[in-house]
Amino acid sequence: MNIEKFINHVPDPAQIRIIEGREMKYEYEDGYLSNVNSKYTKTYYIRVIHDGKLGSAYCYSEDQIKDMYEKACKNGVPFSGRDFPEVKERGKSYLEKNISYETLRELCEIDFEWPKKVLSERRIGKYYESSLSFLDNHGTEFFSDGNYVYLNTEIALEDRVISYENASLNPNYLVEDISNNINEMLEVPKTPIKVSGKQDVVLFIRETANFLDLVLNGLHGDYIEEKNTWSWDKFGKKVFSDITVVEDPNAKLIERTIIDDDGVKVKKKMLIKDGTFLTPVYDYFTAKKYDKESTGNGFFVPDDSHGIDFTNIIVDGKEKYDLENCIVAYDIMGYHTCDENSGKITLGISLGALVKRGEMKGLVRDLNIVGSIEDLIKNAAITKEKKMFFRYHTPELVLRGVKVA
Amino acid sequence: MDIDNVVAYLDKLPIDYWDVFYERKKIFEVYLMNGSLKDVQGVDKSGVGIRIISNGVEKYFSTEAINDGNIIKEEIERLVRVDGNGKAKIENSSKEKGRYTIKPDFPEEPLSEIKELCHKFSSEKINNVEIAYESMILEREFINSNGAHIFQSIPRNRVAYFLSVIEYGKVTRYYDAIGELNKFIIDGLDDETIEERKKLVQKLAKARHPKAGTYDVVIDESLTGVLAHEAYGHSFESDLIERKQSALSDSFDEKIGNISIVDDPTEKCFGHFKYDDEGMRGRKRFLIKDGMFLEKIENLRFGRGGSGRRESYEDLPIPRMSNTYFLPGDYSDEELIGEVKDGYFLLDSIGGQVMRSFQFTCQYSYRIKNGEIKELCRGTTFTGDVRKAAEMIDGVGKERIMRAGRCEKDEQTIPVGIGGPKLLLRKIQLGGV
Repeated sequence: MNIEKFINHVPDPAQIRIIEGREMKYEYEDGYLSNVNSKYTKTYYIRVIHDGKLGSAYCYSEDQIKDMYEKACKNGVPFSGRDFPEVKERGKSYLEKNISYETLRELCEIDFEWPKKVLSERRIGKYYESSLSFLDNHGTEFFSDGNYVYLNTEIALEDRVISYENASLNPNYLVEDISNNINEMLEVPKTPIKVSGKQDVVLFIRETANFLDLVLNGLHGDYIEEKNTWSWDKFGKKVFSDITVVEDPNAKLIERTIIDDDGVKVKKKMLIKDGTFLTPVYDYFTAKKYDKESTGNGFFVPDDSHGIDFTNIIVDGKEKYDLENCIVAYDIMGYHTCDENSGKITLGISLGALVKRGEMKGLVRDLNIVGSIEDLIKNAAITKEKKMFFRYHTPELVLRGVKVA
Repeated sequence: MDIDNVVAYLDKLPIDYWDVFYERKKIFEVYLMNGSLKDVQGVDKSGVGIRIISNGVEKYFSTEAINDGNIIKEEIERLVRVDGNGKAKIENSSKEKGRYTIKPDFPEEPLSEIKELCHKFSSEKINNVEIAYESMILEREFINSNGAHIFQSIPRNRVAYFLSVIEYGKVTRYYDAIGELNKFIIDGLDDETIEERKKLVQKLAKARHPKAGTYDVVIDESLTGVLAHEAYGHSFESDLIERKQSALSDSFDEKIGNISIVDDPTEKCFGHFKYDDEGMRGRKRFLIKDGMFLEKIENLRFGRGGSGRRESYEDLPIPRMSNTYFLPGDYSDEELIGEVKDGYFLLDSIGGQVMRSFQFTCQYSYRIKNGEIKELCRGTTFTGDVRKAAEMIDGVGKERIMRAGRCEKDEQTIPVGIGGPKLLLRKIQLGGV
């Protein structure tokens, strides 16, 4: 089937997004190659505006596109828009030449020579490569491709399991990052210390990213318009201490792109300035529904017809925290039970270190933090050093004066 | 590339073992908010995963391009060439031949029923009602180099509902998710339960938080199920034991309290299967009996198999639970509550997580004073050490109830059943204010 011809002859506004991807995974156990997992996928994702509804479907071969188009016409959600965004940008390649299956395997085989005796070590490396094409009734075709690597190391000690993962466009950065962070966690003393009352809690980079995900979900336009989120009345108000958060789709992090999944150009924008929530973000569908402009934040998986997410996030702030007396939380449980709509949080620190006068004094574990996102961020600070973690370039967040039990 | 060609091709390769996993997934999903349709999708998705063992390495390729023999051959040949002296092997693989089908008894696209449910939950005092419904029919075919050939088709449907109330500018939300195999789940939500939930979320909006501290608590069946699954079940998975990552790694020779926990895929709950995803017949296992460790949860790579499950054809099978529960005991609900002088009754799990410690969260609770239930409180978190938790169990209820759940491990999410009776636990650390 000639897809371009097909899409230009259907009576309704329609859009096809083609995502072709390869994923290669190597898993090592105690230095031995344990498994290799290779995936290839090519998805044709169709959206159509038919009879006042936005419908979607997807398939894996060109032969099925006509059937999927008819399916998308049949089921849909009410939509007042009359067309899809016109994709105006030309194609751009983001392929990093220093990333390949060979470099991935080299990363997985590095001996970090941990300073402590480990009972087992598991290393997982993944290589991702994908390309994106858009076709719509305007005949537009946009092409973009990109790749990155991911590395995860888990080590079992006598009294704990330590793991750390990251993804980057720079394999050398990953090696240094994994080594530094796991070595830091290995220094956490064995002896537990009881802690309670109000404490400053420094969120290790992984936990900073998890926490920022929670905060940024409060900027989703769909929930804000429905008043179904803790942040619905916070815009224009200072909520997040002196922190500034910028979305930058061009930053050299793994979510680099020019356009979102709707075909709207993603622009660099300030989301939070000196703690003030500036504006909600919208995908094309939600923006049309509430008579707003899309902010280029339409990102969603094939199982959804639309959705909101972010590209790369850069965080900075004015108040830099000295790690003198605090708890550093390396492992936190419970994010998936946090209520993002009410903003209520119950988190448990399963691996932490009590720091006194800049030195780790004891192990902290089984410590609960109960509160709300709003209360936890109003007094937040940041550490001095910025780190790259998946789509984030950020210092570590410090939640000050948190009641722990 | 049809199945006979795949088999013929794989049989010629210089490898120790192969298996082929075909899957067809028919999914229908609906998401409504306040009566208006936010998303609806019907998906019919197929793919294949091919596993080979050579040079002691487990190698896997998956794709939806089932009919593209060239892509499949190219990838498999490349994988065969991957060098490495690993230790992976599969012994005693399945030779089973069989067909097992459960016919779905739910409508294919129940839009009107879901809209009606949304309408029933709505009221002036509830600011937001969200309903997410999903049905899935999983058809799977498994063939291996040992002559196994299995076909299995299992339907499931699940509904999650979220009720929100805004009081003094703050959002309070209540959430529940229930699931069934082939029965239509929405039929199981009667009007009485719906009204009860609507009243509950309104009361919760005005309720206080529990006070943080150490208490005796009674937990309901949903929390018991999470305890069985998260704190104990995962600790018995053979890959985690092999890697010394199990929370009970150094406790398998010791008595763990007086508890008994079972994993049983034959029971027709949400985690049910007849054959696992490596073609092995599923069977009931006693993980712990009267405090003593008995059996692991194993796939073929890390044991004798029977519990090798995968989310989809894109994934290798790993040791996973099915329906995991505490065995019931002797206490009535009143007797359990009566044992608590100063504590809480915790209800409605919204999940948990385990490393060496566990952390579980409930949605609401009741204060217990001198053996009597007092005021309604908001939800909270309780934490503890996995090894010590069993010794803290001081009473086990009579009635076992199973709930539908979802378990994520190694980026794979699968349907599971979790449950048990109510439990009384002594001196548990509660989060709170």
